[in-house]
Amino acid sequence: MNQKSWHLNRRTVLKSAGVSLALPWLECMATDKKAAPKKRFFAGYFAYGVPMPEDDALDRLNHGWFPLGEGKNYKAPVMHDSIMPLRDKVTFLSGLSHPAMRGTSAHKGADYFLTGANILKTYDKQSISIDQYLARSLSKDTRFKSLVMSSFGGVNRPYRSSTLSFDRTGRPIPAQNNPAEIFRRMFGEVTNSEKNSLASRGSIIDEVLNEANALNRRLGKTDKAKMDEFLTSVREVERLTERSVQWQSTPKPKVDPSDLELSADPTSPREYLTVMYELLALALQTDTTRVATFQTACEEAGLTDRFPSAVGLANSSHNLSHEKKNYAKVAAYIAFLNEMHADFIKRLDSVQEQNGTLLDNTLCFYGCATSKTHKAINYPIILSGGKNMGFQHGSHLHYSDNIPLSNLFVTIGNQLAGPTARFSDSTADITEVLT
Amino acid sequence: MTNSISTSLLAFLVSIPAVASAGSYETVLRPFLAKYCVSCHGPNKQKADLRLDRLDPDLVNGSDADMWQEVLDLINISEMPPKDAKSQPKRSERQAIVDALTLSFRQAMKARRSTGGRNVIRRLTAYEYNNTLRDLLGLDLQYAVDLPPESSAKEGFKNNSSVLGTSALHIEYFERIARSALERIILAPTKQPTPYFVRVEPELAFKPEPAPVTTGKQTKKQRKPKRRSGFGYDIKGDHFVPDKNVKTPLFRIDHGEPSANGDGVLLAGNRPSDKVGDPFAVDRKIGGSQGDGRSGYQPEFRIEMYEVPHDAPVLVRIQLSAVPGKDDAYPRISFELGSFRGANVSDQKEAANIEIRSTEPAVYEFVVHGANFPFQSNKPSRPSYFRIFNDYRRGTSQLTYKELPKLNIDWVEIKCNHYDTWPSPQKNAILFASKSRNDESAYAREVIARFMARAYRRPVSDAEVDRKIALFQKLRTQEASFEATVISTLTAVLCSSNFLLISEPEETVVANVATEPRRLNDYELASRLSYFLWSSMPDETLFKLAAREQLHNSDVLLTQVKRMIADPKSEGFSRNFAAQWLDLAGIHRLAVNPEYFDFKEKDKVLFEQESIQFVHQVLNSNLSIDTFIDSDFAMLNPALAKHYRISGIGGGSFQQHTINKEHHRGGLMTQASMLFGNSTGSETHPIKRGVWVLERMLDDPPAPPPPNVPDLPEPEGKDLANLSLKERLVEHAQVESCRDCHAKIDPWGVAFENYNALGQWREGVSDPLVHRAHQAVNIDPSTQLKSGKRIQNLDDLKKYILTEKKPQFRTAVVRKVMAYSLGRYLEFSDRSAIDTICESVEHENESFHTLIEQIVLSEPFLTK
Repeated sequence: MNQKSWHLNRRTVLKSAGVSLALPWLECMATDKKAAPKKRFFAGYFAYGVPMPEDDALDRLNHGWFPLGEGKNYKAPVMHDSIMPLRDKVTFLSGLSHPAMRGTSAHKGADYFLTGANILKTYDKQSISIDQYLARSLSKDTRFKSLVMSSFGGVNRPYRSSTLSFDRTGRPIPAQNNPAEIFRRMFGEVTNSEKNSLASRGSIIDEVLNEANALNRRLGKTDKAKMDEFLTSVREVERLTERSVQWQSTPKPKVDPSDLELSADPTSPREYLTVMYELLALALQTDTTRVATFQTACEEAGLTDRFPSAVGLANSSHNLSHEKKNYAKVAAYIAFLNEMHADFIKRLDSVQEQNGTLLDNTLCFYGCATSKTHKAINYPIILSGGKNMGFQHGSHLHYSDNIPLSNLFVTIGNQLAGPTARFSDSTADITEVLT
Repeated sequence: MTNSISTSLLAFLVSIPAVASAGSYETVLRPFLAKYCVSCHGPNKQKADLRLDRLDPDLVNGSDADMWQEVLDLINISEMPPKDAKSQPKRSERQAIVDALTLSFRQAMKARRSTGGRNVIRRLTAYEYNNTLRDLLGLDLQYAVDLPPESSAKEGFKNNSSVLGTSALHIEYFERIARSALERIILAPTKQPTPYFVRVEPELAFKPEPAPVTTGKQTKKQRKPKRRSGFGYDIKGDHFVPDKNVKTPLFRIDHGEPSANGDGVLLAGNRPSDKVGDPFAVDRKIGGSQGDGRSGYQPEFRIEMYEVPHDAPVLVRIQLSAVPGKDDAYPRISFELGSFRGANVSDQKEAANIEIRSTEPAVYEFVVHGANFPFQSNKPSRPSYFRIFNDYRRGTSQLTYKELPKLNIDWVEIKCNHYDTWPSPQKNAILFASKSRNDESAYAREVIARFMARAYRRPVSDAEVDRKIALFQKLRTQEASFEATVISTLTAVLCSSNFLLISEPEETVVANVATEPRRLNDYELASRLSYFLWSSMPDETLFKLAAREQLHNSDVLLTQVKRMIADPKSEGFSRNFAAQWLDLAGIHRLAVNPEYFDFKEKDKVLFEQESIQFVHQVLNSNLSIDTFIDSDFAMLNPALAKHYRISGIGGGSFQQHTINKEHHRGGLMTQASMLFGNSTGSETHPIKRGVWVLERMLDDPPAPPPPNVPDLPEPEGKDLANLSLKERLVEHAQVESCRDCHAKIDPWGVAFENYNALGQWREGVSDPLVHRAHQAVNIDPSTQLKSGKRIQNLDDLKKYILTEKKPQFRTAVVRKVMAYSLGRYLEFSDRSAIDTICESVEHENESFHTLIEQIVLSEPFLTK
């Protein structure tokens, strides 16, 4: 072959099995931190719901999402083959949903998937998402409070959110979508410029905040509402400054980027999702953060709508979700997304920690806020991992349509963050997922 | 739009001033619900847990807006009342409800987002931030690339205050970007960096003397130079490397052959049609593909350098000439900077792409900044590189190797660390010469005060400077040097709300009392002007006029507008306004289906360029806004001309070219950006194209489709493949109410049927440019608009817009430019200003300059 390998399309030389990394700093961190096992949380979202062939059992097995039968002896449809090697560490949930949004028209799922907020009344007035709620107690000892990712990036707009995460004031947290930047923030070599900033950072942010307050006093009412956003963000940075200064003087984990396809973008879905999931795994594995969210696609026209090209389909993912008879294509596409997710779960399970695998110490919550074409009920959900936080798996648990998903968030809160009486519109908790 | 039923219903649903008459909820909506809905969704039964008689009709403050949307959608697509219901509404009844609710939703949305017609404080957009740093620091770098992606407002504009959020992540990036930019300028060494220089005479590759260093798995025997193929030579060139320990640079030629006079190398455009006369035939498989549309080998020329000063200007000089191919085919030089990221991984970005026509050797010279390229290798053992290849596109022509155009490269020089003066002008601008230079605290005050005034785009008070001096003094004890302390203090300035936000504070603020509109002061006006026309900060001239309080004077304003338009920075307006108005990002949301077209994805940027250049031409030459609809010229470069099958277009960059009728071009609507951006990537999409025209050219966006309606089906199944396009549209709009709505949209898009998904002309029975004829149907652009107007083709449609639809089109353009100039949604209170501007534009022969000038002179632009 005389094709020059050096300029081969980078996507063809994709990463092999894993990424090498070294954790030289673990010991030094361990000295002052209690040895309590680490608790981690991941939430993932995919767009536009799942195929639900009716009646015919074979069709449901071949092309459907939801398992046949309940309890331990469920039959998993073909599209879940990729995760079945971990059957004992995985739970399928069906029936749950967020009550306030059950009657909604479609495409808003990412807005409320993790918040359970009723945004029908308020359009953009959100409440805190479960990941950020957990981050408040889980991420005290990590470099980043959370890692918020989506394929679209940013926040987009209300009702078409491109982020799953909302802070305690209900403001959307912009999602990162550029693998190279995500890598740089977590593992990139500390530059001289970053070192230089250590001494002055706190004073600079103080001054920026004081000056912004001074400006705020001179603003009219409408301006003040907008200015509030700026002030809140600077205050947050101020709160985090001490921590970030401390972390900036701590060496970053060493991760060799040469096996990572950091320049992948959503035009090549398989490579892109692979590297994004790998970054998530690395973030958790290196204890860079203990809370992460990833919205794999936005329910809006854009590159992510072309993800079915990964399995050779020309249809948009939205188009596929409207299929009402022949489910083969949409099933092939969702199977692809499932495979990406399953690879991630397997990857977590391959990492040994003191008390089990990384997966045993990470609760993974994955699903969508619609089931059959745009119906905002009966969310398809896969819960996996978190054994060391009391979660048990191996079943398909079906709930009736009136149980709020937030009940599960209460349970997750209890197990990961400590006593959690309520979350959003919860009415109870869900104990069947626990040992 | 002035349907009396709709507007009066609206008055009840929404508390909007200036719309009168209550009670239509009672007269239109409630009777419909009572007649068709409440029996299942009322006091007795609540199917699907839904009770319609109790829904709150207030769409702005009520809590049932989304439920109303659901009701509207279901009625709209005739899913409700269900098919088996006893009484079915008449088509007209259904339509009345849908129209009324749709309009109400639109008004409710406006009411909800209203700022009272006033500008609101806003953050600089990512591109404004980038340009502002560029002008403030005098250094043209990609500052904003890593910022989180920006959102767009409903009508597409990114500078709308309501969508410009600022998160903690933003602040983190703002600090990082500011610091590294300031360090780059201020921490530069006192001594001018030594250049890193390489000169390459490619013919060295064809002399057997220097034993070539081989790559890969070749055995020793094979390492002998193969003169004929010119494959894989690694030769050391003349060079000067600042550090002796750095590995020697080398150059490499793949698949180049010696030029006729033996003084250079010939690089053929890739992909000869067969093996005739191709010295490298053995190296390629015909029809093979590397996944990017190129097949087989690709001749190229590469210079590899180790440990280059990547963060510095680079001077490139090349002497070359063209060896034209058959039928006036000319070579194009593509020049890239890149680096190796791993053994098999490299990253590169194009720096120049020029068609070469001269057969006489000529020197091409240009300067780029290394920081704008992936030019930094991640290990000293991995080289950065310059790469040249011949980017000739053969299109459909079948040229053999001999017939292909070739680049003849005589020599190449690369000079990194290319500085004309030292210290750099950027550093001198911040740390300027001053009498008090020896008095550190006095000098710090001068430096900081001067920088602040420019960064804040207005004079700064002593108190404001005092705060920064206090910061400076505090940091001075911690920082290593005076320079380091200046960097930290100026970083604080660049993270300040006074820099990052465009604010127009009140003179006096009384708590909870809404302020009255007021005139902008001259500095505020300077910023509004410059962010409108330059997407950047004001320059010295504007600052001076503001200081003298002359800027608000209309004559001065108009003179400045003219000056600003003539300034190259007005490209900022053309680029950003065009991109947002025309939704040029749509190009990047779509992929070209390779089963249909032989097309390189990277050529999509040409589509974007064309439209930006076109808007810029209208601006620069003060053309009529009618030009947006139709023109007797096109902005073309050779590659795009080839795409459009227009011959005889030379030169490198985009230029204005007169076109004829048979070229079928003219105006924005014949540009590939619109035609491709509103296709499926395989086929045309008349609905999208129709919506685009209504939204972008006529400012009359149709209601969004109900969410349960799928896309236009792809013609894959046999049953669909045999349907004509029009039949497929009919299929799509089977439901009566869909048909009503689509009757307003589709005909506008059908008129574009002579343009395929890539915007190329087609007529007759099939499209010769498409690989696989997916549609065996006649191409038929004739259509009938909802108004009854018959349209034969796009020319007809253009005429129609420029005559009967002229006032609507004019108002649309005025509204778009105005919303962009203000960075907010337009509201009812802006209407009289808009009317006045439209009158002036009409009076001045639709001049685009008049349009801009009148916006600048209008009340909304001049007030806060």
